[in-house]
Amino acid sequence: MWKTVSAAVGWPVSDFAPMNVDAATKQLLKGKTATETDKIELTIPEIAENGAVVPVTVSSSLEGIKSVALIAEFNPVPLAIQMFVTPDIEPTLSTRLKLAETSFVYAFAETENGWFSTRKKVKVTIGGCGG
Amino acid sequence: MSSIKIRSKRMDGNTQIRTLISHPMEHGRNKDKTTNKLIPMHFIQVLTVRHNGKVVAACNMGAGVSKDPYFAFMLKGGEAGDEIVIDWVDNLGNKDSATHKIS
Repeated sequence: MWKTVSAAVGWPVSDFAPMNVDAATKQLLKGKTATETDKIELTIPEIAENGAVVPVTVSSSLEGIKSVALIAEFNPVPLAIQMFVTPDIEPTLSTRLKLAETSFVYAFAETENGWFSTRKKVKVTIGGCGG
Repeated sequence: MSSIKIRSKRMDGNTQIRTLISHPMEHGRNKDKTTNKLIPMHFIQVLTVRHNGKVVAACNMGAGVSKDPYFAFMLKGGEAGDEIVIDWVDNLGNKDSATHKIS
């Protein structure tokens, strides 16, 4: 049985529960739909030799971005990170993700005009399950 | 010794902030090879970036972020001497904070 103790105030426990990618997307978008766009740039290797450490950069030229999020299709907990931005910072995030297996990585951007998304397939040669 | 390392670099009027945090980011499904027991979940949940005391970015994350997480942000503007504070809280209630001055 899944039980997460959240010590951090405001951390959305239900967004980070294990579920499939459709449920995770629904949960993140709170029922809204995302429009596919080429205005989100997702930089991620096509082939990741080590699924435990996959470098990723997401940036966007969309106006009025409130948050950006990354979802890994076949991870037990698909949502990896959601960054809330202010106008004082570029909506750009670079980090490193774990990918359980070969799958799509989705980047979402929440703007004043709704949600937008893009995706890229990443081939993982060694799984990220080992940590 | 702080768990957080921060570096900054001025770039075309913006400031790149890079941070490296030492943290296990355990998702609770790995087994300890010697005892064959599951390693309990232990991961950072919230990361906050402040510029001169004002929150500029806040991240919620799960254990899908790699061990010893790395983040890079691009701050608009930023002057020499400005203060960057990064702090994190994990699921066990541990927290840490580090202060960096843009040079």
